[in-house]
Amino acid sequence: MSPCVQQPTMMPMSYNAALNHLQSSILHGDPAEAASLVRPKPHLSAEKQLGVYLEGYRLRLVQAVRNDYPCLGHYLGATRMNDLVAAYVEATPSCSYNLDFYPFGFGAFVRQASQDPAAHDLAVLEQAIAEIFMAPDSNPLTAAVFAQLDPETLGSMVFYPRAANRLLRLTHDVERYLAAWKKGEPELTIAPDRIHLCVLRHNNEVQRHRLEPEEYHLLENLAAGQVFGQAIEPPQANHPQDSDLFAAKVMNWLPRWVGEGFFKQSM
Amino acid sequence: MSNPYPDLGFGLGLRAPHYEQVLREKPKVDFFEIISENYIDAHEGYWEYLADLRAHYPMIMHGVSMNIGSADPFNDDYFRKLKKLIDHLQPIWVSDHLCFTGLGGHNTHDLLPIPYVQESLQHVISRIHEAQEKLGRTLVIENPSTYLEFQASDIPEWEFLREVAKATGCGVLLDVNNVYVSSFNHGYDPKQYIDAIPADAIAQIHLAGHLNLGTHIIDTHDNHVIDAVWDLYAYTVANKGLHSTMIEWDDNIPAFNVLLAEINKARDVALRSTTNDDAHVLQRRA
Repeated sequence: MSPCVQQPTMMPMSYNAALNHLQSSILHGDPAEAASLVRPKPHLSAEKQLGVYLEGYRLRLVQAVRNDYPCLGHYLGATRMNDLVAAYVEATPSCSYNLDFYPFGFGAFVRQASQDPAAHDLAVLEQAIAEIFMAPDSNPLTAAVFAQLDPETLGSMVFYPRAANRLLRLTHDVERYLAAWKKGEPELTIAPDRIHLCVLRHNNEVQRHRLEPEEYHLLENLAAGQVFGQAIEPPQANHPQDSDLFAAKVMNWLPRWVGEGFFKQSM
Repeated sequence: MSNPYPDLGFGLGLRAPHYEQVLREKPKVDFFEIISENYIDAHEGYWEYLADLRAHYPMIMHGVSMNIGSADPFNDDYFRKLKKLIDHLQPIWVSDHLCFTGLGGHNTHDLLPIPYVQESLQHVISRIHEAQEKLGRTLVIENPSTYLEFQASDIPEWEFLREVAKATGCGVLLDVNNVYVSSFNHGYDPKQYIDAIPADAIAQIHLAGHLNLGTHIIDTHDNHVIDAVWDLYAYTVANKGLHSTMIEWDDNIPAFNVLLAEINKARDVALRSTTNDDAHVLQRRA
């Protein structure tokens, strides 16, 4: 179990030790660690009393993870999902006051613990959705503000992505699987297929946009802080024969990105 | 000393399945209580929703992560965000629990019991002073449901809570269901608990359903308030007077009308249990 960041204790050892034994017993799932501190009851042993907390801790964390990865649970089936979540909970303490943040490490855990690359990608996508839902707010660059920009200076402009915005490049079409699952449509397999996505929160809703590879590449460069003229060069270089066509595509993408709230207002 | 907390009437915990209905229908509920942690990191859509609701209802912020009993320093990030939400919502009061939630940077997301001894009493008093200073307001502290007692505890919980309130000026959120649950689990008389809490310290009363497993009770908030808890609530009203009373229902959340019926039942029990003067107040409000 990886530790959280320790803070210096403020209390004499006796009180601190009592709390520490109780917490340790809960985190390790071992009532024996704290049983000697607990007053036995006529109908309930100290271990059983501690068991209420041990069980409650695991139930809460398991439920938090399952809530954020419902489609992965559907894909893996109950047994595999339960095993993975239980292993994550035993390996991962919560270090935040907010339980909503606890499941954010599950995507990386699935990558380590599962041999199924489609499950990895689905976990990455659902993790991004959960993180974007909780990401900080930022005002979007509006179409009205965008329309006032001087096209002559476009090449030197920087377009900053919204705080709640994540670009994903995946090797399986988990977006198609997720969309079908949400509609209640049968989608039995996840096809190997390179896909590019932008997951962002706009108008207080998490949205997923499928991107063309060059579109992803350009957005990735913009997210790295490159000015528009610099960001466009590498993807444009991939189309030496169709530079006009590519330029036309970019001029279509840009207002669409703005309309869909990809960028934040401060430029 | 008079009670500084206004009697807001009969309220409900605001929960996600009822968001739209509450905003659309503005049901006859005297106040709403929110769980602070559900919103302090939430996006602005939630904050706008709460502000809309706040324009129509008194609101209380109830926390589960202040970690008052812990030996860790307070989490400054948590307090900063909590303060921001307080400034946004202007709740009637802000509450949390007599417990610890984690140590060494961990969070168990549970209301863990602390030993009730002189050392912890002084610690909790100093922590509540510190928290009140950070927030610039008096806190309200709730008695938790507990499933174990420390061998070392030599102060009854009700005395501990009373001393905390006396020393810090904090209010008491008297969870009557929690008193019942803990008294069952630890074998004491719940009325003794109620008797020990000064009426002028009580800011609010919580009621909820629980799960009785025979050997012990778990505070599940997933069902109707049971008759024995209604009786204890009646005893509380008869002996401590009327205080803002709220139904908590957090799991297997029913249709909103079921919750309305539950607060109407609370109102009826209070009406039957209260003094004549208070009964007039209730009848006018109904």
